[in-house]
Amino acid sequence: MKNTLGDLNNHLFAQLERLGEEDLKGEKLQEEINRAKAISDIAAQIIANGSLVLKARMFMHEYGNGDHADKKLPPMLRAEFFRE
Amino acid sequence: MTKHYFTSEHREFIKDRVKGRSNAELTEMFNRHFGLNLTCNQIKVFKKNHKLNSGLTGQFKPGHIPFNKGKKGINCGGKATQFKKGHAPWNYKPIGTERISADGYVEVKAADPNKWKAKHVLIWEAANGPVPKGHAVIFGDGNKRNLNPENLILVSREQLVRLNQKNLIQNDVELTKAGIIIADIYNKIGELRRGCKKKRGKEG
Repeated sequence: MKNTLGDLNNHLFAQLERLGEEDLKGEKLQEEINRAKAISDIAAQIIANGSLVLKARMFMHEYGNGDHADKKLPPMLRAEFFRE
Repeated sequence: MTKHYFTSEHREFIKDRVKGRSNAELTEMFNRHFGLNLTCNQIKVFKKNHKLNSGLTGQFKPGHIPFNKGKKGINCGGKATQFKKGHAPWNYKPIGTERISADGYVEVKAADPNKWKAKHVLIWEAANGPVPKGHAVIFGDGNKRNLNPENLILVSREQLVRLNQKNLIQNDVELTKAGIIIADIYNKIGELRRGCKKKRGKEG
């Protein structure tokens, strides 16, 4: 997984800038609003996922047993969100 | 109580003295003069039956001066059990005391007698100056006991309402900061939508 939180932030800032452009009118504006809505909804999900992974890590740290802890985790939570 | 018949003499006596006298006063006067033993109620009923009125209303008249005007500290006893001057309550807390508020925030006593301030706001202000109007300091990881300056983020109320509405405050500072940008986008969308509606309203 290559995407980091920094990339997400860059995407969000770019979207925010596109929304702020003043020559957006009518159809174009509506289109941009819809895109922004989609992006922010997904981004909200992404950070919620990040939270979940972090929580899983914390529990692993608290209750896990070293090397085997990773194998016991369900596959969905094996994502390495904070690799960097 | 025996039945009493009022004679014309009695009647005259009461008629002459009824003005400005209470029933009790009149009864006492009547009994003393005639050597009788009538009750207050008997005189009252006699007055009513003969349409006599004392003219008393029991009200204070305008300009009435209260009995305690100009007097100070009229004491009705109990002085021994009163608190003395300079007495400190048993639960007095000195300035700088910390407490956990009912909402879970750490608060510090700032001034007597009861000024308490949120500790996370004080810490943020020590580093960045006073909190601007319409802004709030939030905990990046959602933990109200994590008072690390890194964990405290200043957000505007517009951002805060979106953060709470969309559950964007996460359990990590960086994630919450991303959440704040998302909140900005939501606010921008709302702003643009309102702009659209206004334009449409004008055209239609």
